[in-house]
This record gives sequence, structure tokens and C-alpha cells, in this order.
Amino acid sequence: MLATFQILVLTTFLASLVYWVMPKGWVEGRRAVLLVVSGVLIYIYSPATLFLAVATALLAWLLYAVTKRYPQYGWLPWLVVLPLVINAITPLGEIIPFPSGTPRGVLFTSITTLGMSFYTFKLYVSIKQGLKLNSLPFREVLTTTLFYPAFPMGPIDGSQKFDHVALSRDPDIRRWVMGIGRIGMGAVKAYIIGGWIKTTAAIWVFGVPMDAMYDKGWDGPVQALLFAFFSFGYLYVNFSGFTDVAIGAGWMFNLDLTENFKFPLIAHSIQNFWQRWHLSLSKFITAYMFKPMVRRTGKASLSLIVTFTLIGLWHRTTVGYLFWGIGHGTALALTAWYRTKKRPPIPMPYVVRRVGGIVVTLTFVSLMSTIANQPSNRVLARYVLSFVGVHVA
Amino acid sequence: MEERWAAFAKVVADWVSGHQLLIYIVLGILAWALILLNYPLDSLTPIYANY
Repeated sequence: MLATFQILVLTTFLASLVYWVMPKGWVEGRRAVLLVVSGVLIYIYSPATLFLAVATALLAWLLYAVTKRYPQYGWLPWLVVLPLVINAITPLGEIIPFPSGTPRGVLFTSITTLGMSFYTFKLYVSIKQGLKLNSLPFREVLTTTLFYPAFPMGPIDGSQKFDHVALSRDPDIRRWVMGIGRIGMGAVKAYIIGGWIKTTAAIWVFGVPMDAMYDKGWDGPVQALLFAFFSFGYLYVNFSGFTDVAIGAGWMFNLDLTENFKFPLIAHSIQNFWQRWHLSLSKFITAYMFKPMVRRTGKASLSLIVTFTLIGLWHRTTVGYLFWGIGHGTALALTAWYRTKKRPPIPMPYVVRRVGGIVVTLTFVSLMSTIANQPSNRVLARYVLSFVGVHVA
Repeated sequence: MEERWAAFAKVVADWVSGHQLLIYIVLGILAWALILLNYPLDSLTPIYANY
């Protein structure tokens, strides 16, 4: 979150009133409300964050203009990931001389690059759709980059969600009310259920809060597996809760952000999981990475593994996310390969097969996610070793 | 069995999409009541917000 929940709710409430006071002909006035509120919130969070986001938006717009002029260089839009790649190699917080005297280091880099991976993909989508529509106004690029509810964690939407048509809609009181409800539901998920999982429930099961487990270590495979369910459960309520807040805030301005989750905890296969989890990312992967790679190589399985490995590293350039990418890619490739065999379903009742599928899928994705989100390689090694009964203090 | 589940799921989905406003108002009031009961909320950072 850019600001505390209270500030975000109050800001959204007041901004939506100012937004709707303007007649639909004042589209750029409405846009100014969104941009000023977003800009101020991000500036208060950190001026460097705002600087980097605007600079990346400018880079994207320039890449659009150059690709439009030289369409033979179809790979040019991918250069929008340059700041993200540079940051993975040399933390940008170390090299941006802005503002002078600001403390540098890991924390500064984390703050500076907040939301960067998300707006990088939003900008890539914007360029590609802009090239298709033959139009990409910079003001729309800037709006999708900075729109404050979706700034830190998506959903990944192109600038066309913030175009002239979207901003000139009539007020919809029904959606506005639903938006307030959805923000509340998101906050309950992220703060109350998330807090309960992290502290009360974790203390009840492990004896300590979830965060303390990284120092304490895991006693054995059963505890490590239970921890994986806790960790993934927390990730789900946290991520989907904040996404609900973002989508609900969008509804208050009658804007449609992409739905990101469709009950992923009941996914019955890894393929089904990616039709329910982080949908704006899975749509991005399919349209801009997987399909073009299959068209070029003709190898679906290899494309899946390479794509997911890259997406793993997009999350964070760590060993854990490398495993996560390879694991998800391989599981999807194996499932796809098995389905091509067209074997008859395993002879067991439908309910057993479906529930079994849910348990296996949930266990797999929980383990992958927990491995990816370990705070360091040392803790990751300790977590993995606990599955073979080795307890490292 | 599979068809029966699919039919049941469709009935539920149709009802939900036909009563969206009501659902959001009821769940929204419950949610905001919970938030007010737990006020002030801790300020958490989304852990999926990768940097």
C-alpha cells in the first residue's frame, strides 16, 4: 500500500466526489484528478519512486513512437524492461543521484522501485495495444502507470483502460456503492484474516507468529508442509485483498480494472490454477510471451518452462523464484504432455478425483510459493532440508 | 455426477450475478463493521509487491 488504509479510503472517497462533480465533457479535468491524487500519494511515499515511474512511462512512450516509425523492429517494446533488468543487476537506489543526500542502500532501492515490475508490464501492454490501435497518448500512459490503487501490485492493465471513453462515463451510483463494499471486503481479507493467519492461528499451530518461523526453523516435514499452507494462505488473502481494494477503488471512478482471482484455492489442476490465480499476469504471459515463443520455436513444453522461469525472475531475482519458475513451467508442461496422450480418466468417483486434484494442486502451489518467498538462500536451504528431517538451527 | 455439480454451480453463479448489488451491500456492511471493530488497522505492505 502506498499509504495507510485510512488515508487511502479518505482520499478515494473525496477524489471520487471531485471526479464526479465534473461533467463528462471535462475528461481531462477528471484525468487531472486521478493524476494529481496519484502523483501526490506516490510523492509522499517517496519522490524517487515517482521520478522512476514517470521516467519509465516516458521511456515506454518513446519506444512506442520509435516502433511505430520502424515497425520492422518488433522487439523494441521489450526495451521497456531495461530499468527492471538494470535494477536486478545493480540496484537503482545505488545509482540514481536523487534526491541528493537521500540514504541509499537496500531500503532506499526497495522504496524507489515499488510497483516497478507491475508498471513495466502495464507499459508493455500499453505499447502493444497502442501499436494495434495506432494511438497512444502520453497522458493515458501516465494514468495507467500512476493510478494509485493499482500502483504497488496491479492488476496489470494497459493504458486503454484509462482512455477517453473510460473517463467520460456517466456516474454509476450502484458501482460506487459496490466499490465501497469491495474495498471493505478487501481490507477484511488483507488486514483481519491476514493478521489472524500470521499471528493468532500461527501461534496456535507453531507456537510462534509466522515471521518468527524463519528464525526458529522447522521441526520436520509435517511442520514445514503446514507452514507452506499458512504461507500461501496468507499470500492469497494479502494479495487478493489488496487487489479487491484496487478494483473497488476503480469502481468508485467507474473504471474497470481486470479481475485477478477466481477462487484459486479450489483449483483442481495446475492449468486450472493459472486460470484462477493472478489472471492479469497469466493473460500477459499467454499473449506476449508464451504464444510468440511457441510460434517461433514450435515447442510448447520448452516455451512453458522458459516463460515461467522468466516470470519467476520477474517476481524477484532470487534462487527461490528461479525454482518457482522452473517448477510451475515444468508442471504445466507435464500436464499438457499427459493430456495429449488422451488416456481415459483414472477410474474413481468424480468427487474423489476432483477433491484429490484440489489437494494435490494446493499442496504444489503452496510449496512453490513458500520456497519462492523465503527471505534468504540460507533460510530457503533450511526450509528444504527440514523435509528430509534435517533441522538446522 | 459431474453434470449435477456443473448445474448446481451454474444456479449459484446465476443467482450471484443477478444479485450483485445486494451481495456487495450485505457483505460490505459486515466487512466495514469488522474493520471498525478492529480499528485502527495495522499498516501492512503487500508481500506480493515485488520490487
